[in-house]
Amino acid sequence: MSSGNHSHHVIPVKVYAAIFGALLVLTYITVQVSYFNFGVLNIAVAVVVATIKAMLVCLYFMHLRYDTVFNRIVFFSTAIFLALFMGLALLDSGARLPVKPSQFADNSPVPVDRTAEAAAPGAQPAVGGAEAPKSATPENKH
Amino acid sequence: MSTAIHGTSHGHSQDHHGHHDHPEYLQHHFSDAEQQVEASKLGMWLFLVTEVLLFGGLFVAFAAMRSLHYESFHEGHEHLSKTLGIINTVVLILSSFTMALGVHASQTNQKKKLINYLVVTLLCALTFLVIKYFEYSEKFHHGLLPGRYFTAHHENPHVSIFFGLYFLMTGLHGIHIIAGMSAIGWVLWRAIKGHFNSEYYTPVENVGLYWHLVDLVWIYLFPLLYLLP
Repeated sequence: MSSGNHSHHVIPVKVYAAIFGALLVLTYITVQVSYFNFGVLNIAVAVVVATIKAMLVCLYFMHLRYDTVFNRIVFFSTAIFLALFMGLALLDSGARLPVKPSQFADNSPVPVDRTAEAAAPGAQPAVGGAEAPKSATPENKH
Repeated sequence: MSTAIHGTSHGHSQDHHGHHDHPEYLQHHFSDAEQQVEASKLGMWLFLVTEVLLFGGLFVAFAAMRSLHYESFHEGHEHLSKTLGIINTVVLILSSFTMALGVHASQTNQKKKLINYLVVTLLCALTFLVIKYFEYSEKFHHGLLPGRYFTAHHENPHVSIFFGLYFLMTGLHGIHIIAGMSAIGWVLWRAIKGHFNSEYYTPVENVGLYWHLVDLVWIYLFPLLYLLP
């Protein structure tokens, strides 16, 4: 398996066929699982099955299992960056607004908050817009 | 002879492996073919990483909006056809499989098989787009559009956000399908011209990597948009 002088590892067709079969089975599983309600775990189950499928595609179809260590580090490090991106963004959005969707999201309080927020910055450009021509003319003279 | 067809355009026989005085495909700024392949593949992987982060932004938006507007997202998701989603998933997985077999065929000097697998991959991609076209036109017809263009009857106030993200994510993915099809078409043309053999098939491999990434994105899009209850 080492990539010494023979870096182009040829994966047998049988392996590809097995991976293809496994991907179809996992697709079947993820569809069947979606008919059950696990509550909060729904998204976790979907993402875990999808990640298993993604790993199969990466390691075998994309040959990452037989690729150089550096390429593997490059690609799998994306997962870390993506996790940081998603984790911090969700922490932020979760901290800013009430978290329980049933109490909050689709009933009504949001638009009230948003218009209040939107009105404040909306007032500033109007003032700025009025001042802009005044400041623009002296700059032109200079 | 029927299976092992060497690329003829280079005009030099390849009876000894690993020794080239100066193969036609080797560019001058690389010391050897090995280094050229590694550099090319590293570049491709770095590009794929940026692609992952490009889609990552939309996945973050989806997660944030879904956690805020769960009921609306649930209602929006009910409008999507699970059946068409499943068919498209199988079609894309099949296309990834045939693309992988195409790379295998080029590794083992099977020119005709390479061409056939690339054609099948293209047909799968086309099937995917045709199904997507029917899905999109059905959504348009029912007014299930993003933002203020949303005119469908709805129970929850933020269904339009779901469709905004649906069209952004599947639309960007669809653009990648078209880009992938162009790249596969280019590789197919070069394969027909006999540019590839077991010594040189980097374009086939890199286009294959791109195509698998398109499949990878769909592997996540499908359950999140179509399946999540």
